[in-house]
Amino acid sequence: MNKTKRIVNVLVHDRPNVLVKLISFFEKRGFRVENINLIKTDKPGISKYNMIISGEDNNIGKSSKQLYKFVETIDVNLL
Amino acid sequence: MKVTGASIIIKKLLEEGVEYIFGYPGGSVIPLFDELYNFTDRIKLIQPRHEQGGTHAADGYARSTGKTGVVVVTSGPGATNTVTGIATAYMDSVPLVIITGQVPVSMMGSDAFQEVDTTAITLPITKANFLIKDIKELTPALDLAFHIAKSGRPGPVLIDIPSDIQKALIDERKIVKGDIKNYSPRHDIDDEKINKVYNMLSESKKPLIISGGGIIISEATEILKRFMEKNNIPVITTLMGKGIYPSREELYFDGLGMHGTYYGNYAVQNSDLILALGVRFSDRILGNVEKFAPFAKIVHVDIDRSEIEKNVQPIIGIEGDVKEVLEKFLSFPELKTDFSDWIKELNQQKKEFPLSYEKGKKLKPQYLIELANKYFPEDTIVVSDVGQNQMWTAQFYKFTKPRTFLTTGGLGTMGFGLPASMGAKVGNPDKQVLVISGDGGFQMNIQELITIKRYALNVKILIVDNAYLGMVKQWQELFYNKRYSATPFTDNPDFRAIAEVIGIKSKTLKDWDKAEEIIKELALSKEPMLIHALIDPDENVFPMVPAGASLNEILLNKEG
Repeated sequence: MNKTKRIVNVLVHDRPNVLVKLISFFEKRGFRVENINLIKTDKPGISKYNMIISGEDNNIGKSSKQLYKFVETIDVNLL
Repeated sequence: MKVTGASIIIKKLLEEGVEYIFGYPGGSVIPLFDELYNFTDRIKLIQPRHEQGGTHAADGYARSTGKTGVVVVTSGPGATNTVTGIATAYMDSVPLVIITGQVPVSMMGSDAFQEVDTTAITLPITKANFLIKDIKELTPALDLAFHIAKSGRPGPVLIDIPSDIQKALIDERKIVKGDIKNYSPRHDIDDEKINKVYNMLSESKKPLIISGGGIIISEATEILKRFMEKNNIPVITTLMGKGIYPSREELYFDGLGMHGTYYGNYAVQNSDLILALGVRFSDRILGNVEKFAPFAKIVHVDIDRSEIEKNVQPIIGIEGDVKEVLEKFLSFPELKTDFSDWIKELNQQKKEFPLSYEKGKKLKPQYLIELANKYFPEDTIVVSDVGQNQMWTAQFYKFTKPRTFLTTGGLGTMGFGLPASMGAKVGNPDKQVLVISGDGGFQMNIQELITIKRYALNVKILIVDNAYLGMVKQWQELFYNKRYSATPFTDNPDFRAIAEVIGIKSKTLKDWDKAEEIIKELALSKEPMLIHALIDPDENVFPMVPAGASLNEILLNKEG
């Protein structure tokens, strides 16, 4: 299995504990959060998390779709 | 005018039409219970003997009525006792609002008496949770909580409210409503995909519908029946999807998966096109995912976008309310394709490999379930616990209406059955409620018999006691050389005597020959009644697909 790194951008409604949810989401699936940046958008109450995720296989993209399970998630983008 | 936090909460409950709350008091919710005391004519309190029981009761209320169940408990142990109930509801998409008390804001973080970080503990088992640190946040949180619990894919939402916030005052004119539009998922169903599916259906030779819990939640059973009957498409259901039964029995093939039927699994493994409607493809129905439905193209419809492509790769995934999707399918003309060969093939399998058990000798749980099915009315709400009792009930009770089978499918929570049946009865006073439980699960929340007595909840209780934790014992028998580690419960007490001490009518049942008469009495009883049935301890649940095996590798009995 190849180790891969992907950039995952998640647009969310600002709520307490969103950061905790995002990190534990990836860690419990066996990925590592290498870096995380919180960017305020020009819309009040909406933020963007830019994350660098690494993992043992190519499933980061597939798993990231499950971020839509969170009520806070507005959009998920993979680079 | 100034109002208190507690009065804001009660006003919101009234506004939401909440008739019952399942609650247990404690130090951090005294102000809230004090306010509730003014409204006992409009909001009735059902007080369990344990907060876990109260949470399962609210869950049973919600599953059986479709309304949101409301739980009120204190901080610390009150909150942690609800955790199993919340996780159970989360796994099965049940709308609950749980209000927990918390220590005063000024004491938070000081390890105060009965302080626990409730929102942290419940973060992964709620759709959302809220910790109120200022009374201004209370109304928006309550608005959002009730909205989020019911919208999209339902689920539990928790609000943690410190006791000083319950007592704090706010000028009514300063109250701001919650902005729910940010949490209102929109699903524009893609018509092009619907067209494609229709074309695939018309080209298919062996189509199959797998109907899941989403069909029940979105109230889509009638429309699904119309769709499948119009087009002659066979249907099977998941555990959570029980409650749809076509008027033509030849189209129904029970369940699939680990303890589905032989013919249900045959249908999956031989179909060329599967419509999976409101299904989450749990590991219990998939078996070996690589070998699941090898000949089928899969169309997956679910309201939760994150379920699509999670466990299986569909050829088409449709995100949306399954009822709206079915309405679109139904608007198409009747399919011209003739599926009668396929239906014949499946019915042949059903005839050759039916569900069965040995009759006329030892007392068998399947017989009791069939008798219950015979003597209880068709709209009876049947609640199971977890384990063999759950699988036998799913296999042998014929569920023809939605919301008549309440079972903990995802979390598999022992102790769910008895308290959930209380909530079902509270929400459905005119219907019969029957709980079928094993001896193990029954004893996990046995204290709720006292609640049943207190509120005179006319619940019928059938305990199928095999003196083992039967499902684990079955695995030990089949896969662990009959090493029955920690599964014998040969010291079970006399449940009849316990029920009678509490004041609940009860009988013990040991013999096949007495079964019919006693189950009939259970069905006809005008008051709550418990039957302690001592069943054959060697009876197992078959067929069985061993964990990780393909659905083709199904054991019909101990010999294979």
